[in-house]
Amino acid sequence: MENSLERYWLFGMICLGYAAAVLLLLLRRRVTLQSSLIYLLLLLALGVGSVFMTVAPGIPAAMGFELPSNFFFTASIGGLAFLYLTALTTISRLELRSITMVQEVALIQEELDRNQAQLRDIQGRLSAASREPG
Amino acid sequence: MKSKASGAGHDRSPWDTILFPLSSFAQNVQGLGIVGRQTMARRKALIVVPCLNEEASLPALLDRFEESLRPLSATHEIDILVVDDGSVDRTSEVARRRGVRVARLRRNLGIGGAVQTGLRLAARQGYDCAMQVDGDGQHPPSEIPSLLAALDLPDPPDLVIGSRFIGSARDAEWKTTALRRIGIGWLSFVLRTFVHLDVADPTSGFRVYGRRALELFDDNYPYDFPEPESLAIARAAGLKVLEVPVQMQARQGGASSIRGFSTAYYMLKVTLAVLLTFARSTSPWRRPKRDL
Repeated sequence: MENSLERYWLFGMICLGYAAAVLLLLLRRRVTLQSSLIYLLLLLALGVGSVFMTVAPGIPAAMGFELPSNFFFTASIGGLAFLYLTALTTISRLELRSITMVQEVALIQEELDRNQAQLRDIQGRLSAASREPG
Repeated sequence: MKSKASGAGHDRSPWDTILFPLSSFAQNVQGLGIVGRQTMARRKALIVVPCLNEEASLPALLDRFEESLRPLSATHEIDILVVDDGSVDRTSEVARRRGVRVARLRRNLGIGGAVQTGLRLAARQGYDCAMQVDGDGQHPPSEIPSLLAALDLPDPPDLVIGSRFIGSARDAEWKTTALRRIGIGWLSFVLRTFVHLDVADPTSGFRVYGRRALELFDDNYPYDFPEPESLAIARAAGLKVLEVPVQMQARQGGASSIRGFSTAYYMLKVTLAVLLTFARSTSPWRRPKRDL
């Protein structure tokens, strides 16, 4: 364990820095917990998996991998691909919502403009009628 | 003055006495669908003009509208809607000053989003049809009557496309480039093969949308290079599509969004979109429509 710390301390510091950055983004609400929960769980699983890779050697072997590290990398890439897919579906849904909202705002504004024009017209007629003698 | 206006109804001529009950009867009959509506009531049409920075060319286009639509006033009640697709110039102000309706999009959505805005308005406000006429001057308003006339056919189409490549339009002076013709040929082939729709000019945006098309596209209209894909959607929904020859003109201002690298993206995207529409229309796992 001591040997591992000596070897990987720099990499460990980078990981901790990344974790701190994610935490900061969460605290500042730049990333919402709701949308990032799967991502955080995956990071946690990867972290735990990398530390205790040799604890359950049966799993990589059962999946057909000779080396546990190969299984770990493959699982990580698969997890990231899944995360990217969920991000894509979220972005697509938000894009459609945003387009619909821009359209609806334009239509409401158009209706408002027309109603205001009608109101001005009615007010003009009323004031003209009130100015008419008798 | 007031008393004269209110008393006018009592000064009916003998012809009025005969014709008033007749027109009332005709309206009732029309309500039952016995008499064609075009002979009785004026068709309510909305001309949708998607614009992006067309401040300079818009006044001339609106002038030409006025001139071309005058003969239709007896049979049509036509409104013009300029959809300002997030212009940075004074397109909206120019249009408002001319007295036409204006829907200003707060950010640029592209041609699909702009057109759908107009189609949504037409669908919700009970228009019988809507017409798409681009604000860049490619679509001459003088061709509008011939496109609208297609809706008076005995078996009226739901979607009318102004085509540059059929009938008399083939002899037009203005031609599109050879590369574009190849692309258009490819898209025609894809539509013919996968959705069984034979259209010579699938990229034309000079179109008339009937009531059924308005209801369909209010819910589902493609945003990116929408013309060929919207045809596939219309076909998948069982709409009747008809092409009518029209003479188009060279673009009066601005530049096409399909050039350079985007040409390859356009072809790939549209081809995939048509294939997806075909797959969706035949899929047993189609999801029901839902609100966003």
